[in-house]
Amino acid sequence: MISEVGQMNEKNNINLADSASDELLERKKMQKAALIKMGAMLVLSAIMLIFSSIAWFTSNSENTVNGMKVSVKGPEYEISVLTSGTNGVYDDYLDLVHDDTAIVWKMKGTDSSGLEQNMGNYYSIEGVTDDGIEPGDSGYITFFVTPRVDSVDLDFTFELLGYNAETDNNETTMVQIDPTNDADVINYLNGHILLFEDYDPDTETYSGLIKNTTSLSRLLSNKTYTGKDTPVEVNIYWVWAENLSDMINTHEITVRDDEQDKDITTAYPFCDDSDFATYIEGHPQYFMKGVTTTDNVTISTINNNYQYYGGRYNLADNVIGARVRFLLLTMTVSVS
Amino acid sequence: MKKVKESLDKLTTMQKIEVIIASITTVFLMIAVPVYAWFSNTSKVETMTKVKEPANLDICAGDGDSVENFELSNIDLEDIQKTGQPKCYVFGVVTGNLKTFYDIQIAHTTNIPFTYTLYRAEEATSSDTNVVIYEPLDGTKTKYYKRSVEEGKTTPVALPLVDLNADTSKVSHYGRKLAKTDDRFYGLGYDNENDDPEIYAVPIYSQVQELETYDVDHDFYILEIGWDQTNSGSGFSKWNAAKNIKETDIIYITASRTTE
Repeated sequence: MISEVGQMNEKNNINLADSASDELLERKKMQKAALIKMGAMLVLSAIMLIFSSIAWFTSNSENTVNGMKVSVKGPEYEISVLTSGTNGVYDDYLDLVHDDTAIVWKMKGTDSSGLEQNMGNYYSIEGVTDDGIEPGDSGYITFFVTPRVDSVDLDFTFELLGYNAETDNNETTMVQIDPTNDADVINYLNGHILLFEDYDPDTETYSGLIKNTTSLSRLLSNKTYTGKDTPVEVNIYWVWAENLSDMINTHEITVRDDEQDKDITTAYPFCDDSDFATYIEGHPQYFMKGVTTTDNVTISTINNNYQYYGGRYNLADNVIGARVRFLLLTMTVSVS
Repeated sequence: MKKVKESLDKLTTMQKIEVIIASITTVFLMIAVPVYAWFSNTSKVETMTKVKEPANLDICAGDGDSVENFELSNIDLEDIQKTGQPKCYVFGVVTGNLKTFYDIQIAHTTNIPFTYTLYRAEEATSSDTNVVIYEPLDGTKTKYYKRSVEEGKTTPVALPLVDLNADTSKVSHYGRKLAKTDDRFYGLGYDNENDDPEIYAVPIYSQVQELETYDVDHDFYILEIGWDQTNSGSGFSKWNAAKNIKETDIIYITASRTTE
């Protein structure tokens, strides 16, 4: 009996051992299956990620809205430029310094209000081209913001970089002006080629000066765009004032008043920002050659001795014209 | 592949979890880094334009006439010494369509002990006093110019014509300023070993700097060529005696944009 019990125990033990090893095998199988599943999932998600990236890359060259080209975007917005228009007369020079991740602004000719929709670089009719900018010139450039969410706040950073073209053995290179040796020129570009958010052609008044944050960049921050998938046209107005007096004094505009049957003349400012005069007073080195903040120049000081200070402005124009031949304007967009 | 399976089988559950986490992290980083970099860099738009070159400066004769009408010949030295009146000439600088700043340089040899004085000028009438008459070579017209009186002044003031390389130490010996022969201007023009120019042939460079455009069409100037009466009375009797003998001086007038 004992032996029978013993045999049964032994049998039970063997059965237990068998079932344990089966369980182990089963568990191993399950683990393997889980591993394969996880691996497969991983590969699948990797493929999806890669494909979604590629899809995203390729979508950049698609035209989605009439007249615009979807070009660059973040997850919450898209920046588009006009499809009509040209890359600009100086495209060949741009190619030499072009950031491959950037898109090229499209330039157009004179719009219906008589304003130039370019930066002195519109290639219009074959053989007829604009040939750059000089004091007294102005215009605007256009892009579109399409929010991909209900509301997005964006920052726009502008840089205006000076270059000179050097040709050696028939090979042209673009040499950026030196931030140390040409610091004065960089300053003058900030005060002589101004960027604004808005312009009223009726009163010839600018508003919303895009101010400098460093000597090289200007920031338009926290601009809110609402309306998911609705493109918003944005114009950036640039102006190179011919004289310092154009900026600090008002100008008169005469319009015909039919009701009163007479001409009405009204004085308008160059810029109606309340802090525009303070900006000039705070950054005289951007506007006038040889004048610094330590000179504590005010608008009144300038007007009282305009021959000197106006001359200093013209002298700075002279320096820009003599030492810079090309200007690269870049705009970088990011979420605020 | 079998080996990989075997080595995977050998791993403990914990090790397997670690391998999975490591793989996921690697794949995620491989994809995320370039994509993120693209996200953060690409929202950029560019355009290139050109800054127009400032117009070339041009020198003209009176009334904006071609520079060949600016004629300096036949200066009567004896008359200058006798009357004490300098010989005056009108020329202009054209700066294009924009106001700018420029330097005028008068480079001259020193054969004849002339003095050079420069004034801003403006058009005048025949009834004005102390006028300078300009007539082109063909004599078809007569224009009058007078020295400008700057704002806040009552009489014309000569422009600060500064000699860059004059040697004033031997004025009593030569009766005039000569150009230095040991400075960088001399070094730029002559090779010390091979050149041995005659001392009166080395030019003096005189400049007026930072002249502002007053009139974009023409800024006129009156150049006075005189005689240093002080030197002629200072005991030097030979070279500064005014005689209409055949002596020649070369005078270059140049205008260049002020950029520094």
